[in-house]
Amino acid sequence: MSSRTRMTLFLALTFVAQLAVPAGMIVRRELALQRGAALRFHTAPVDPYDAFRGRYIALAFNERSVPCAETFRAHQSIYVRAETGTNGFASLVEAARRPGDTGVWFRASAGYGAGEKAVSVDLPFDRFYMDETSAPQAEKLYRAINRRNRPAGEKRETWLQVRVYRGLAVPEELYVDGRPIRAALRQTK
Amino acid sequence: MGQRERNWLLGELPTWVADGVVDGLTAERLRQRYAAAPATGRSWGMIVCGVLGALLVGTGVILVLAHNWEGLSRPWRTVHSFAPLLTVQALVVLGFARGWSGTAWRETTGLLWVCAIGACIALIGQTYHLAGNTEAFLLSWVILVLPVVWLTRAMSVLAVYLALALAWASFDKLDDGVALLFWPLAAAALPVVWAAVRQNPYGQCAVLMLWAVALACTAAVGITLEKIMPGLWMVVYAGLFATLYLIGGYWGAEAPTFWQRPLHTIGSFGAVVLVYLLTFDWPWHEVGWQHLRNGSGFHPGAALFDDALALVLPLAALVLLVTAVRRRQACRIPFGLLPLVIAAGYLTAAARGWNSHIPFLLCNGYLLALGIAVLIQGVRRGHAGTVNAGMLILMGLILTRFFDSDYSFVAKGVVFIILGSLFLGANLLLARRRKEVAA
Repeated sequence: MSSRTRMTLFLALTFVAQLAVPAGMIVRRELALQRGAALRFHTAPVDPYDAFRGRYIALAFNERSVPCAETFRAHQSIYVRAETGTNGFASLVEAARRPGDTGVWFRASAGYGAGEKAVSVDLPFDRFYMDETSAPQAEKLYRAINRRNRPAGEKRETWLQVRVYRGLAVPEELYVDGRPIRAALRQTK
Repeated sequence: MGQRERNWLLGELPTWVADGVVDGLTAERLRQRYAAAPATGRSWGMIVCGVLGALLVGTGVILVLAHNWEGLSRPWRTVHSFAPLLTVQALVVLGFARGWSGTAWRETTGLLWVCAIGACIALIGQTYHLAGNTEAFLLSWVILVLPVVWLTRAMSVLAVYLALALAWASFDKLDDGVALLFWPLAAAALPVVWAAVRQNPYGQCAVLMLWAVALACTAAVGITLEKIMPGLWMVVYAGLFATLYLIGGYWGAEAPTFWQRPLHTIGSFGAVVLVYLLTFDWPWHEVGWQHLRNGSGFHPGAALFDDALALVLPLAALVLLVTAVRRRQACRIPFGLLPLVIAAGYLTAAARGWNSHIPFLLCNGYLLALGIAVLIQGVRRGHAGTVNAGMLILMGLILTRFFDSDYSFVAKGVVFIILGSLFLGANLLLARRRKEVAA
């Protein structure tokens, strides 16, 4: 094999690999969005500071602590089982090293503060990207609804819809008072 | 050599021949050598402009895409994510087909390629709202950039590749990871450096690559050490700097400027900074096997890497030192002894506790000896830069110890005057010597 043929082959392999990796990322997520089980997670107030924020809404969730039968160290990869309750929202019911045969399981990582009977979970969806104009406005709206000291009787809520397929959880839409965030933003303008 | 220097040399040749400095044959050989050489200065100007242009174009394309992002559907976003990468790949194919292989072309295309890969992954991440897992993003980027390093053999691509690998290692370590994957990643780029060095060890490409590799390795040692045994970093860094210094001395010491001796320069500078730090008391507090760290953030398995480095690097330095002595390069001994001195200090501190003062005295004595040795070498060679380096080491040590103590302002002032006079005197003496030699 001449050096030019070898070079051509290597170049072709490089191109294929460089296109295959991002394409694989897309295919797995598209499959999840098309075929995955839908779960809704109630959001929670977020930390007030994040140096990299600006083009996405930082998300936080009430569901963090999950019962488990084994111990995990922080940042360890784990699987979490979610169940949809009677109110239509998901709750995390079980964490394990490997996914079970039944139920909706998705991959997450163990956070700090892991105990023996419950583990703190870092969910694999902590941001919702928007463009640089909409993201700050959307975040303002999100934070206003998710603030800790809301007036009594105020009934506003935000949630994230997630699709889960073969252990991969992909955020689908962020809802504010039942409307997708972009629609809610248009109404507030 | 730049065009200006070459013109000067060619202009001087007739005078040199007339004065008998070189004979006619040598002058002709020099004329042929430098008249035919390509104008590298201009080429590097083109490379810098090309690299800057590539960065601006790459960033501009991403910003234009980002501005219209919200109005695009998911399939269109996907197409836009791949567009920069496909464009660069088409450019590469075009260059390959037409046989373009100039440095400016390789550096520019390579850097654009690196940006396009990063942009593609980042834009897909935004489209699908990927969680803020920076190390996963960086690792994918680094791995996909590796073939670009091999294919382009570009200095800027190698530097960016190593910087990305370092960034990944840092984020991984912050997330309680092990980050040892940095070393295979760095090793995978070494064939490119080796090829450049073999082609021309003093060429700008090889020199810049060596600077990038040596600096990246120096930083990576600090990042990837597990640090379960407190203070072991001292022995590891002592071994690393001595090894770099001795490799630089063994291979490439003939380079005319310190800039063209990256391993030698980083090794000697790093060694002086390290010993200077260790002349203080604080690094010796609670070091050694009696103070082992544990907890969820520490990985005992990865600590084996620390132990291996603490053993292999000083041993490598020792072997290189013996080789240097056999080659009658006694001038390498002062810096070559660094790992032995630091290891002796570390073992003493670990066994007897920091209040033994032996490591402290040992490092102060060693830095003093090092300063004197560098000074003597400089005077013997008539090299002002080395003399000043020796003087700086001595001044730094004496002034630091002096400020540590409770002497009066008058005493401190007198020491300042004496040291300043010595500095000026040494330079004056050297200048006079040079004049004598020239006469």
